[in-house]
Amino acid sequence: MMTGYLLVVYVHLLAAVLWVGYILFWALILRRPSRGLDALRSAIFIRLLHRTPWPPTSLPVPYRVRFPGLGWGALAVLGATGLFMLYAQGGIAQRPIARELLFSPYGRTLSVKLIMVVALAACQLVLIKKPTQRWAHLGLIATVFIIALSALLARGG
Amino acid sequence: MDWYLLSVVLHLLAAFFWLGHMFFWSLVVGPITKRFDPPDAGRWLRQTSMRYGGLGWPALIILIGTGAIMLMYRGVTMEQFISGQFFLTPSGRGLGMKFVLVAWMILYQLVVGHKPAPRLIYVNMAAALVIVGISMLLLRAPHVFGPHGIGLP
Repeated sequence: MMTGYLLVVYVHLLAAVLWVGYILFWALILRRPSRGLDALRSAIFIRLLHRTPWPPTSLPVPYRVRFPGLGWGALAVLGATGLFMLYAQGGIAQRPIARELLFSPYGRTLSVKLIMVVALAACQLVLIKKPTQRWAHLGLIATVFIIALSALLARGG
Repeated sequence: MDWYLLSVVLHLLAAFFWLGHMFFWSLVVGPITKRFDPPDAGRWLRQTSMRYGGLGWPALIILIGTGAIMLMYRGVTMEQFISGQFFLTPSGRGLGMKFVLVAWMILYQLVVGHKPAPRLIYVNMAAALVIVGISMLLLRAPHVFGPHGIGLP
Protein backbone atom coordinates (compact mmCIF):
# COMPACT_ATOMS: atom_id res chain seq x y z
CA MET A 1 0.00 0.00 0.00
CA MET A 2 2.83 2.38 0.99
CA THR A 3 4.73 1.66 -2.25
CA GLY A 4 1.58 2.26 -4.30
CA TYR A 5 0.94 5.54 -2.47
CA LEU A 6 4.54 6.71 -3.04
CA LEU A 7 4.25 5.79 -6.72
CA VAL A 8 1.09 7.88 -7.02
CA VAL A 9 2.81 10.84 -5.30
CA TYR A 10 5.71 10.48 -7.77
CA VAL A 11 3.35 10.43 -10.78
CA HIS A 12 1.57 13.50 -9.30
CA LEU A 13 4.93 15.33 -9.09
CA LEU A 14 5.95 14.38 -12.65
CA ALA A 15 2.57 15.46 -14.05
CA ALA A 16 3.00 18.76 -12.19
CA VAL A 17 6.49 19.22 -13.72
CA LEU A 18 5.06 18.58 -17.21
CA TRP A 19 2.13 20.93 -16.56
CA VAL A 20 4.45 23.75 -15.41
CA GLY A 21 6.53 23.22 -18.59
CA TYR A 22 3.35 23.38 -20.70
CA ILE A 23 1.98 26.59 -19.15
CA LEU A 24 5.46 28.18 -19.15
CA PHE A 25 5.77 27.34 -22.86
CA TRP A 26 2.55 29.22 -23.64
CA ALA A 27 3.51 32.17 -21.44
CA LEU A 28 6.84 32.46 -23.34
CA ILE A 29 5.61 31.68 -26.83
CA LEU A 30 2.69 34.12 -26.67
CA ARG A 31 5.14 36.97 -26.09
CA ARG A 32 6.02 36.86 -29.78
CA PRO A 33 2.51 37.16 -31.22
CA SER A 34 1.65 39.77 -28.62
CA ARG A 35 4.54 41.93 -29.78
CA GLY A 36 4.74 41.17 -33.49
CA LEU A 37 1.04 40.93 -34.37
CA ASP A 38 -2.11 42.66 -33.28
CA ALA A 39 -4.20 40.86 -30.65
CA LEU A 40 -6.87 39.67 -33.08
CA ARG A 41 -4.42 38.14 -35.58
CA SER A 42 -2.33 36.46 -32.91
CA ALA A 43 -5.49 35.00 -31.35
CA ILE A 44 -6.61 33.71 -34.74
CA PHE A 45 -3.18 32.16 -35.44
CA ILE A 46 -2.99 30.37 -32.14
CA ARG A 47 -6.59 29.26 -32.32
CA LEU A 48 -5.94 27.79 -35.75
CA LEU A 49 -2.85 26.16 -34.33
CA HIS A 50 -5.05 24.07 -32.03
CA ARG A 51 -7.65 23.26 -34.68
CA THR A 52 -5.66 22.58 -37.83
CA PRO A 53 -4.65 18.97 -38.55
CA TRP A 54 -0.96 18.14 -38.94
CA PRO A 55 0.88 19.51 -40.93
CA PRO A 56 -0.92 22.87 -40.56
CA THR A 57 0.33 24.34 -43.83
CA SER A 58 -2.11 27.24 -43.71
CA LEU A 59 -0.27 28.71 -40.69
CA PRO A 60 2.89 30.82 -40.61
CA VAL A 61 5.83 28.52 -39.85
CA PRO A 62 6.60 29.62 -36.27
CA TYR A 63 3.09 28.80 -35.17
CA ARG A 64 2.94 25.23 -36.48
CA VAL A 65 3.02 23.41 -33.18
CA ARG A 66 0.29 21.40 -31.47
CA PHE A 67 0.05 19.47 -28.23
CA PRO A 68 -3.23 17.60 -28.59
CA GLY A 69 -4.58 16.66 -25.20
CA LEU A 70 -1.38 17.36 -23.28
CA GLY A 71 -2.68 20.22 -21.13
CA TRP A 72 -5.90 18.42 -20.21
CA GLY A 73 -4.04 15.10 -19.90
CA ALA A 74 -1.61 16.49 -17.33
CA LEU A 75 -4.49 18.14 -15.43
CA ALA A 76 -6.48 14.88 -15.46
CA VAL A 77 -3.50 12.92 -14.07
CA LEU A 78 -2.99 15.62 -11.41
CA GLY A 79 -6.67 15.48 -10.44
CA ALA A 80 -6.85 11.68 -10.31
CA THR A 81 -3.59 11.21 -8.35
CA GLY A 82 -4.49 14.14 -6.06
CA LEU A 83 -7.86 12.54 -5.23
CA PHE A 84 -6.16 9.19 -4.58
CA MET A 85 -3.67 10.86 -2.23
CA LEU A 86 -6.53 12.55 -0.35
CA TYR A 87 -8.35 9.22 -0.10
CA ALA A 88 -5.20 7.41 1.08
CA GLN A 89 -4.62 10.06 3.75
CA GLY A 90 -8.18 9.58 4.98
CA GLY A 91 -9.21 13.05 3.80
CA ILE A 92 -12.34 11.85 2.06
CA ALA A 93 -13.20 8.42 3.35
CA GLN A 94 -12.81 8.77 7.10
CA ARG A 95 -13.76 12.35 7.88
CA PRO A 96 -16.83 14.51 7.25
CA ILE A 97 -15.29 16.41 4.35
CA ALA A 98 -17.36 19.65 4.57
CA ARG A 99 -16.62 20.11 8.27
CA GLU A 100 -12.95 19.27 7.70
CA LEU A 101 -12.64 21.78 4.87
CA LEU A 102 -14.25 24.57 6.85
CA PHE A 103 -12.77 24.22 10.31
CA SER A 104 -9.24 22.80 10.21
CA PRO A 105 -6.17 24.73 8.98
CA TYR A 106 -5.31 21.79 6.68
CA GLY A 107 -8.83 21.76 5.26
CA ARG A 108 -8.86 25.51 4.66
CA THR A 109 -5.51 25.34 2.81
CA LEU A 110 -6.82 22.38 0.80
CA SER A 111 -10.02 24.31 -0.04
CA VAL A 112 -7.99 27.27 -1.34
CA LYS A 113 -5.85 24.86 -3.37
CA LEU A 114 -8.94 23.22 -4.87
CA ILE A 115 -10.37 26.65 -5.77
CA MET A 116 -7.05 27.53 -7.46
CA VAL A 117 -7.15 24.21 -9.34
CA VAL A 118 -10.64 25.07 -10.64
CA ALA A 119 -9.32 28.53 -11.64
CA LEU A 120 -6.41 26.85 -13.42
CA ALA A 121 -8.79 24.56 -15.33
CA ALA A 122 -10.80 27.66 -16.32
CA CYS A 123 -7.57 29.34 -17.55
CA GLN A 124 -6.77 26.23 -19.57
CA LEU A 125 -10.26 26.27 -21.10
CA VAL A 126 -9.97 29.92 -22.13
CA LEU A 127 -6.37 29.41 -23.31
CA ILE A 128 -7.58 26.76 -25.76
CA LYS A 129 -10.45 28.90 -27.05
CA LYS A 130 -8.68 32.27 -27.09
CA PRO A 131 -4.94 31.99 -26.36
CA THR A 132 -3.58 35.32 -25.21
CA GLN A 133 -0.61 36.22 -23.06
CA ARG A 134 -2.94 37.42 -20.28
CA TRP A 135 -4.55 33.98 -19.86
CA ALA A 136 -1.21 32.19 -20.03
CA HIS A 137 0.12 34.51 -17.30
CA LEU A 138 -3.00 33.98 -15.17
CA GLY A 139 -2.49 30.21 -15.53
CA LEU A 140 1.14 30.64 -14.52
CA ILE A 141 0.19 32.70 -11.43
CA ALA A 142 -2.41 30.09 -10.42
CA THR A 143 0.26 27.39 -10.84
CA VAL A 144 2.67 29.31 -8.55
CA PHE A 145 -0.04 29.59 -5.87
CA ILE A 146 -0.91 25.90 -6.17
CA ILE A 147 2.76 24.88 -5.72
CA ALA A 148 3.05 27.16 -2.66
CA LEU A 149 -0.19 25.74 -1.18
CA SER A 150 1.06 22.19 -1.86
CA ALA A 151 4.21 22.98 0.14
CA LEU A 152 1.98 24.15 3.01
CA LEU A 153 -0.14 21.00 2.79
CA ALA A 154 2.95 18.76 2.78
CA ARG A 155 3.86 20.40 6.11
CA GLY A 156 0.41 19.66 7.50
CA GLY A 157 -1.47 22.78 6.39
CA MET B 1 7.80 35.27 8.80
CA ASP B 2 8.40 31.53 8.50
CA TRP B 3 11.73 31.49 6.66
CA TYR B 4 11.73 27.69 6.51
CA LEU B 5 8.38 27.62 4.73
CA LEU B 6 9.49 30.40 2.37
CA SER B 7 12.61 28.35 1.55
CA VAL B 8 10.50 25.24 0.85
CA VAL B 9 8.18 27.21 -1.46
CA LEU B 10 11.08 28.84 -3.34
CA HIS B 11 12.88 25.47 -3.56
CA LEU B 12 9.78 23.84 -5.07
CA LEU B 13 9.09 26.72 -7.48
CA ALA B 14 12.70 26.76 -8.75
CA ALA B 15 12.66 22.97 -9.21
CA PHE B 16 9.27 22.87 -10.96
CA PHE B 17 10.06 25.75 -13.34
CA TRP B 18 13.54 24.52 -14.23
CA LEU B 19 12.56 20.87 -14.71
CA GLY B 20 9.26 21.78 -16.36
CA HIS B 21 11.06 23.92 -18.93
CA MET B 22 13.75 21.26 -19.50
CA PHE B 23 11.33 18.33 -19.84
CA PHE B 24 8.72 20.09 -21.94
CA TRP B 25 11.18 21.54 -24.45
CA SER B 26 13.27 18.35 -24.71
CA LEU B 27 10.47 15.78 -24.81
CA VAL B 28 7.61 17.65 -26.47
CA VAL B 29 8.66 20.80 -28.35
CA GLY B 30 12.04 19.44 -29.60
CA PRO B 31 10.66 16.36 -31.41
CA ILE B 32 7.85 18.49 -32.94
CA THR B 33 10.25 21.11 -34.34
CA LYS B 34 12.42 18.31 -35.83
CA ARG B 35 9.42 17.30 -37.98
CA PHE B 36 9.25 20.77 -39.55
CA ASP B 37 9.89 21.01 -43.26
CA PRO B 38 12.04 22.87 -44.20
CA PRO B 39 14.17 22.20 -41.07
CA ASP B 40 14.89 25.92 -40.65
CA ALA B 41 11.24 26.34 -39.79
CA GLY B 42 11.80 25.23 -36.20
CA ARG B 43 14.65 27.70 -35.69
CA TRP B 44 12.47 30.38 -34.13
CA LEU B 45 11.09 27.98 -31.51
CA ARG B 46 14.56 26.61 -30.72
CA GLN B 47 15.96 30.14 -30.42
CA THR B 48 13.19 30.91 -27.95
CA SER B 49 14.15 27.78 -26.02
CA MET B 50 17.84 28.75 -25.93
CA ARG B 51 16.98 32.28 -24.81
CA TYR B 52 15.15 30.85 -21.79
CA GLY B 53 17.62 28.01 -21.30
CA GLY B 54 19.24 30.53 -18.95
CA LEU B 55 16.71 29.36 -16.38
CA GLY B 56 19.23 26.70 -15.26
CA TRP B 57 21.74 28.82 -13.34
CA PRO B 58 19.27 31.03 -11.42
CA ALA B 59 17.25 27.92 -10.54
CA LEU B 60 20.38 26.07 -9.34
CA ILE B 61 21.45 29.03 -7.18
CA ILE B 62 17.97 29.23 -5.59
CA LEU B 63 17.88 25.42 -5.10
CA ILE B 64 21.29 25.30 -3.39
CA GLY B 65 20.64 28.41 -1.25
CA THR B 66 17.17 27.34 -0.08
CA GLY B 67 18.37 23.73 0.36
CA ALA B 68 21.13 24.95 2.70
CA ILE B 69 18.61 27.01 4.72
CA MET B 70 16.27 24.00 5.00
CA LEU B 71 19.12 21.80 6.26
CA MET B 72 20.11 24.46 8.80
CA TYR B 73 16.52 24.67 10.09
CA ARG B 74 16.46 20.87 10.42
CA GLY B 75 19.45 21.10 12.77
CA VAL B 76 22.22 19.92 10.45
CA THR B 77 25.44 21.68 11.43
CA MET B 78 28.44 22.44 9.22
CA GLU B 79 30.62 20.20 11.47
CA GLN B 80 28.30 17.21 10.96
CA PHE B 81 28.31 17.94 7.27
CA ILE B 82 32.09 18.25 6.80
CA SER B 83 32.97 15.33 9.11
CA GLY B 84 30.56 13.08 7.19
CA GLN B 85 28.69 12.22 10.41
CA PHE B 86 25.45 13.51 8.88
CA PHE B 87 25.72 11.04 5.99
CA LEU B 88 25.57 8.07 8.40
CA THR B 89 21.89 8.76 9.16
CA PRO B 90 19.13 7.42 6.84
CA SER B 91 18.18 10.95 5.73
CA GLY B 92 21.87 11.78 5.31
CA ARG B 93 22.38 8.77 3.04
CA GLY B 94 19.43 9.78 0.87
CA LEU B 95 20.65 13.36 0.76
CA GLY B 96 24.16 12.14 -0.12
CA MET B 97 22.74 10.35 -3.19
CA LYS B 98 20.84 13.50 -4.08
CA PHE B 99 24.01 15.62 -3.77
CA VAL B 100 25.93 13.32 -6.15
CA LEU B 101 23.20 13.74 -8.77
CA VAL B 102 22.99 17.50 -8.14
CA ALA B 103 26.79 17.66 -8.66
CA TRP B 104 26.28 15.91 -12.03
CA MET B 105 23.60 18.46 -13.00
CA ILE B 106 25.90 21.35 -12.04
CA LEU B 107 28.68 19.74 -14.14
CA TYR B 108 26.25 19.40 -17.05
CA GLN B 109 25.24 23.03 -16.68
CA LEU B 110 28.93 24.07 -16.63
CA VAL B 111 30.08 21.93 -19.58
CA VAL B 112 27.00 21.76 -21.82
CA GLY B 113 24.81 24.63 -20.60
CA HIS B 114 22.68 25.98 -23.46
CA LYS B 115 24.46 24.00 -26.19
CA PRO B 116 22.50 21.19 -27.89
CA ALA B 117 23.34 17.77 -26.40
CA PRO B 118 21.10 15.16 -28.05
CA ARG B 119 22.12 12.24 -25.79
CA LEU B 120 23.48 13.87 -22.63
CA ILE B 121 20.24 15.80 -22.10
CA TYR B 122 18.47 12.47 -21.50
CA VAL B 123 21.10 11.48 -18.90
CA ASN B 124 20.51 14.87 -17.28
CA MET B 125 16.75 14.33 -17.31
CA ALA B 126 17.17 10.84 -15.82
CA ALA B 127 19.27 12.39 -13.02
CA ALA B 128 16.50 14.97 -12.47
CA LEU B 129 13.87 12.21 -12.27
CA VAL B 130 15.90 10.34 -9.64
CA ILE B 131 16.44 13.58 -7.67
CA VAL B 132 12.66 14.18 -7.62
CA GLY B 133 12.15 10.60 -6.43
CA ILE B 134 14.80 10.88 -3.69
CA SER B 135 13.38 14.23 -2.52
CA MET B 136 9.91 12.71 -2.28
CA LEU B 137 11.23 9.71 -0.32
CA LEU B 138 13.20 11.99 2.03
CA LEU B 139 9.96 13.78 2.87
CA ARG B 140 7.52 10.85 2.93
CA ALA B 141 9.59 7.74 3.73
CA PRO B 142 13.19 8.51 4.84
CA HIS B 143 13.44 5.03 6.41
CA VAL B 144 14.03 3.52 2.94
CA PHE B 145 17.55 4.99 3.09
CA GLY B 146 18.26 3.10 6.30
CA PRO B 147 20.50 0.01 6.67
CA HIS B 148 17.71 -2.29 5.46
CA GLY B 149 16.51 0.00 2.69
CA ILE B 150 18.16 1.21 -0.50
CA GLY B 151 20.84 3.24 1.36
CA LEU B 152 24.49 2.28 1.60
CA PRO B 153 25.22 -0.44 4.22
